[in-house]
Amino acid sequence: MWDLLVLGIMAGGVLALVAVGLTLIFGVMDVMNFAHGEFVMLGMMATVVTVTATGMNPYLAGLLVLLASLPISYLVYVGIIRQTLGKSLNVQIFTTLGLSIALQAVALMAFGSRTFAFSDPFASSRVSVLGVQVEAGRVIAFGGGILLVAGLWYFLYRTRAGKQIRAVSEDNYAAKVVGLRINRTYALVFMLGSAFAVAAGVLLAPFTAVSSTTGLNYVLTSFVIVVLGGLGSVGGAFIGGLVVGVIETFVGYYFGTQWMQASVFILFVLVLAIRPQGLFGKKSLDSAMVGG
Amino acid sequence: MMKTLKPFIPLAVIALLVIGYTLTGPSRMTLDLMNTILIFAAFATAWNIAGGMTGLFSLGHGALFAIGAFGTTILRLNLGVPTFLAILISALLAVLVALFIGAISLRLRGHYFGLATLGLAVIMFIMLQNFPNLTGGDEGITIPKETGFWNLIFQTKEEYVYVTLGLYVITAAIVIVLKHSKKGYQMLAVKEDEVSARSIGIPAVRTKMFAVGLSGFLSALAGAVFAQYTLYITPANVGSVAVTWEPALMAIIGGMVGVFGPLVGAGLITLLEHFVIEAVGSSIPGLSNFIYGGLLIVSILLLPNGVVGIFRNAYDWVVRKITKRPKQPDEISTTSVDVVDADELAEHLEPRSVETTEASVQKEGQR
Repeated sequence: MWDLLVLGIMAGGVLALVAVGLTLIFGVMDVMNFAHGEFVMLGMMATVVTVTATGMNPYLAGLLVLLASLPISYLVYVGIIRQTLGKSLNVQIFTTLGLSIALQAVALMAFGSRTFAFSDPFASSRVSVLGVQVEAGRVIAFGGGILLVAGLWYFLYRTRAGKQIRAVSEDNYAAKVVGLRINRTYALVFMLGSAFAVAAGVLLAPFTAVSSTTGLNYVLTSFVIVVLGGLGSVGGAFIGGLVVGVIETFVGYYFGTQWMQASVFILFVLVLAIRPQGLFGKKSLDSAMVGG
Repeated sequence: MMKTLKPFIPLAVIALLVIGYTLTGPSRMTLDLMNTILIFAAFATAWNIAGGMTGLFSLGHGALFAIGAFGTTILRLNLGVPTFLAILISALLAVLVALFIGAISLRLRGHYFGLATLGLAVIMFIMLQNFPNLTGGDEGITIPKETGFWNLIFQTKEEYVYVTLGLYVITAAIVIVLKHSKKGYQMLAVKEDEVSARSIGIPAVRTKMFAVGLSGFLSALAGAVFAQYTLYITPANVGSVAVTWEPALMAIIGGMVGVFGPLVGAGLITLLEHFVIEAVGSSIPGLSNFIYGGLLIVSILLLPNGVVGIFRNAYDWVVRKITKRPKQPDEISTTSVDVVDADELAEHLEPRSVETTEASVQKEGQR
């Protein structure tokens, strides 16, 4: 029991990282980004390929991958995401879906359809956490996740740029009136959100196998987490990530790993039916409820 | 009489064209493409009853399609139920699941509704994968080729054209009837503004449930025909996430407003997939998907109202040039509703109110 709880929370730390990136984009820009999972996949893929090709330390390689992803996500924002802002829901869904298909195809073209993995002696060495033996890579992933989310919280609530982002998220028209540069804020938010997905991929890479279709699982799970935590709520997404990590681990242990994702979606439908605004969402979310 | 038949003329023309083309003896590949297009056109048209006509943007229709395909096959092969009865039972089962989608729509809208219905499709997909005794797991079920009309399984692809065409014609005819009925106007009202629709006394809940239930029934029919046509169903080809957004995508690309938008979309998407693969080949894995994804982005961004929308705009432009009427000012994009004829209006009036009118007329006369 205790082992499962600790392992679940460890797994949840990285899921939280993916979901926080998604909820940031979702909350500020009101875009449902189906391509978010592909950034996780590309982050994992690029790290694995770099490490196997050069024998570099996986975390150093990961840092390079993260830096390299920033201009790419900026181009994706300017080329595609910016065109969908303010458009109808179905345009957004299918544009980001097309992006997801294209990014998957890019990974397939660049790396082939094999499943990649590597073993790093340091990341697979075992350490004891609260009496449970865990791979060091998972501990680093969890710690990295916590650090990045805490850093984001500090950025959003304690800096001027963060305040601007929150202002745009609150009311983008009023933010424009008082002279904030909406477009620049959106670009920053999209790059930041995508960087979180890439960072999650980097942290997952030392202990997870990856193929070009891995991304879809991550995006679906993080949609669940985002709704669970409440739309646009960074803290909610973080707690939601940990909860989903624990549930997945327990269900995987008792019912078999093939039911992990199904359990998350059953939870999802239940949460939507009982408390559509999510655990930490604002009560007056009129977009969520009919007639509200 | 002529007036009630008029909306069906384009459908009849399409059916005649398809039959005529089939009689010229096209190649097997063309026939295969035509069958696929017709099945998915029926599926997309069924989706459009909920998605386009009532505004319930469901991403869960893959589950309904899968129920049609797997339900029919399991009932036929495991329980020996006659094919047509099996199709009917699984379609009714799909209606139950569709009503659940409708129930979700009572509480959620927008992003949340889309995600919740997508969740439903994913649950169905995982269940199909994980009950291998019943569904064959990832390998799926291979349906034995016992030809015969009562099995809906045929030897040649020509014969299948009549089945898939029949499926499409039934679906499209139902949509045409619906569009000119009171129910159709109610659905449109709910789509445009639910609160206003309720305030003028339209039963919004019942209308939504009706739309999504009918849509589910017809989606399951399409799934059943798909199973009988391909004779090989797996969770991936009838229930995966890719299947669940196929009908929505087709309806959007084609245009969600008209009856034939989904048909145009199904044709374009199927041909696009086919020709991209044919042109690029499998020499570079992923290149065809890359082109497909790119074209998808471009076409969604450039044609938010679909191909049919483009044609409508072009038609309006030509009419304006000929009649030299100035362009109308920007209006709120709503679908126009035909004004109901006087005799049609009389049908909608309840008998009681007609009687009272007559009674009052008589009173007038007595005075």
